[in-house]
Amino acid sequence: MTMPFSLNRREFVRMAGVAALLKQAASLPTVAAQSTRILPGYAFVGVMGVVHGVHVYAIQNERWSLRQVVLSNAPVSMALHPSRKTLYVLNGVNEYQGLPRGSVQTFSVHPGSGHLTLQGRQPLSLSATMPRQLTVSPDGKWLAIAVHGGGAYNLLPIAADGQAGRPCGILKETGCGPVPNLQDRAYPTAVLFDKTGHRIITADLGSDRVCVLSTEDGLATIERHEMTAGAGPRHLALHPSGDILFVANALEGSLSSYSYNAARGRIGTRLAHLLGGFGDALAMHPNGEFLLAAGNGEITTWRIESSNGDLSRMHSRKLADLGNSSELSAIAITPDGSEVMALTNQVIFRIQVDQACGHLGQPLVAESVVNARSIAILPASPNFA
Amino acid sequence: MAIVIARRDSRFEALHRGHNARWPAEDADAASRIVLCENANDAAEALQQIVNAGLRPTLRSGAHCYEDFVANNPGGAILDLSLLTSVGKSGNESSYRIEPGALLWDCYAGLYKRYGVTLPGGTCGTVGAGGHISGGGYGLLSRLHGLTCDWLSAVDTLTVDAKGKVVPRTVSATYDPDLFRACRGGGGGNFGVITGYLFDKLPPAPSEVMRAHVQFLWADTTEERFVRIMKTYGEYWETRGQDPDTWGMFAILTVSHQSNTGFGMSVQFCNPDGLCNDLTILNDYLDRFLHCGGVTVKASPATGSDTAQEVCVGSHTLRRITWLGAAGEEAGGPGSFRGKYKSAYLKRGFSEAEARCMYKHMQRTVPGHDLRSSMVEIDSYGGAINRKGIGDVTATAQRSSVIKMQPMAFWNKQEDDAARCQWLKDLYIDLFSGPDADPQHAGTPYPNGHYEGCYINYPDRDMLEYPWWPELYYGTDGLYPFLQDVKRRYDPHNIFHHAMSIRA
Repeated sequence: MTMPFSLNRREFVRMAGVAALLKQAASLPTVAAQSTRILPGYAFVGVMGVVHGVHVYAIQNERWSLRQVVLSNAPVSMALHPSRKTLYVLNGVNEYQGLPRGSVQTFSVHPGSGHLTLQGRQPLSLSATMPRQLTVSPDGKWLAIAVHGGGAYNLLPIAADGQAGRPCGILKETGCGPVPNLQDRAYPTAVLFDKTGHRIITADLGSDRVCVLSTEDGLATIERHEMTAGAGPRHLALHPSGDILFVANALEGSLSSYSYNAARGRIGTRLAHLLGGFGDALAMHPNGEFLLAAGNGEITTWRIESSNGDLSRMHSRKLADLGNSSELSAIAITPDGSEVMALTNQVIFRIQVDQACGHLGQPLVAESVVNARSIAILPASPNFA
Repeated sequence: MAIVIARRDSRFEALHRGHNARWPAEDADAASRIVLCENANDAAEALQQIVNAGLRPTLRSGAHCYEDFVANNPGGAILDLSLLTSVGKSGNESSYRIEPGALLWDCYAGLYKRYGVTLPGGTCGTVGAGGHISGGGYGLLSRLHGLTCDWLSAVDTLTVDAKGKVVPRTVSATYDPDLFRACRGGGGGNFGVITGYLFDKLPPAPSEVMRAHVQFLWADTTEERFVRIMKTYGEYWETRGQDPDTWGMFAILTVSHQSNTGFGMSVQFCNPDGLCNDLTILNDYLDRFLHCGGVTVKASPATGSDTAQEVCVGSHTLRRITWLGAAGEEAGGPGSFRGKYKSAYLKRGFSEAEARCMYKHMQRTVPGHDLRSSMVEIDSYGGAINRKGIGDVTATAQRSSVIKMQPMAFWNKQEDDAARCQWLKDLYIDLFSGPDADPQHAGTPYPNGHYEGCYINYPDRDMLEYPWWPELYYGTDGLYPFLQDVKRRYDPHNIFHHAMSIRA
């Protein structure tokens, strides 16, 4: 068999895997939908199965159809630029170009087809290994990254053409917690911008800290907020008002809310603290009324009392009933708030969200994908096709 | 209290670079500040502040790092130890203490004048003790007395624990022996900040040495003659040169590019007792090059010393000089220019294929580029360095070699970087892809019957292209996994890192 001259054997094998995957995707059965309205658009799914890559799905009515697979090493996190023209994919790798560091890929997004075109791959700072999460600033000028393996945060500028630049802010964390093996050192896991866009809030599972960092001159710590020893803060969400911070603690399995002073960049008093296994994923509903937290194989909707940060349980939906598909790696809510997507180690579920009461519909299999790890959803442009 | 030099400080421009002007590669790669410490307490406080601020510290003593490990530190802090320069015993101390900022020349002079002892250290006097010793440290007396790290008794160091707290430690064979071993050759910038080296004993400095310089003219050097020179050199160090009575002799054969008039070999000799009463061995050695066109010339290319005395032995003109005077001749070292360096250890003398390969590249030109400062320095090795058992208690794996090579090139202009580095890289890959190389690891001196890897104090980022690069620098017998364990234990946050640091 003659190989394409530009591919070495390893690349050829990888490409062969992609081709097989595309073939498999074309033959997947579609699941009957219960929902009455599905947001048309595109889902970008980071997959770490046999072949690592970003799958591009077109969402139209009940159907998810695979349109494209682009190779991408360990796409552990992704985020769309506010312009929706660019997708950033974080490569959760130990080494890039022979050096111990992860990287970020920049893809341009075709507005009509969702087609991704690789624009570049930017190395993170030296020792920024196994990055875990990235986020884009509200003004679209910065990328912030939590570096789990390397115990650090990186701040990258975004150029006018959408390309991620070299890290201009590097902050190395230290600290540890009481849980053996999981808290032997700092393990930054989450990062988000506050409303000002000049600060990031970070979660460090290893050191039991939630911090506020300034991004105005590189990265500098404004506040280190100590959590309960052994809590293991893992996920963050900020209320659309910008003044309530939610923290999902993976080791303690708890969910907490805090007041947040956006003007000063300070985390205030704890407003609520709930135990019960909510450490796997966290997502803020765009209407600001609900918080969705996942853990122990179920997703729970919490109503937010915006005046005092209280959380009232509204509804829970188990995923565990669907065989071994319950290991949940991420959840994401569609921009219009109508559905939550839940990524497990076997399938992607879509679950309808009643935006009035927070009730969650029956989980439906949107797509069977092994080891889907990250997702970004792009609503369709007017010329969606 | 440490002195902090920020970017706006007028001293920053002068101090943010090391001797290799290639680094920092770009302004964006530069550190945000240089923190100059005057003592170990300063260093501990400064390190704690750097860690608390979430900055990356890189460590500098003599500023001789070949690669970008120190000066490339975007937004970070260079912890500069060059003002920690004391050498000797203080108070009632029984051990010799050498601080990391002491330059080798100052070590030689201080130890010699006060105690009559020396480090068996490097050839370049402006190298700082901090990096030199932590990477192993060898020099003109190493065949006689072993590596500098072989003599270490304890190390004062600052590590950073899991909580982010700076921990001062004095490590030795008794206290934290794993970290102590790692500091004996594992390489700088890996585990912590070394603030002092302690030696219970040091070897006596020779009273005097003989020096000779043999010159070979390219005009007289055919390929066949070149092969003869290389084989003569290599065979001697593989055979006769391993006999203890020759260990006081050290030779440096510097094969320069053919755009020079010629190339040469410098030899330093003393008898094992540190005197020069019997010159038979030196004379025999030099005689071997007579049939290769080698001519002993009156003066070494290095600066001559007033105290040198010319001596004719057989057909050779030698220079008798005090050991301190000889060490001083080497003290200049390189200035600030752009440079690229590689290294290789050889367990055997040169094969014909290697010699021809080297000749080919020394004849090769690169249009538009002056290669006069491109060369391969070939040092005699072995002797006391290869004493049995010493490899098990140090972190220098290469204990079977008889030759150590350092291909290198120097230039001035940034626009020449690519061509100069490529010339050197081509030579190196070709040299280690021949019949003596392990086919599975072609292009590198991967440890086998002929080669024994590379020297961590001559780091070469090009080696990162090979997944087996740690085995080149740390061997194949478990030293690297050992160092990884040490790294995990004493630097759990990987505070101290660079492109080729130990990866836990």
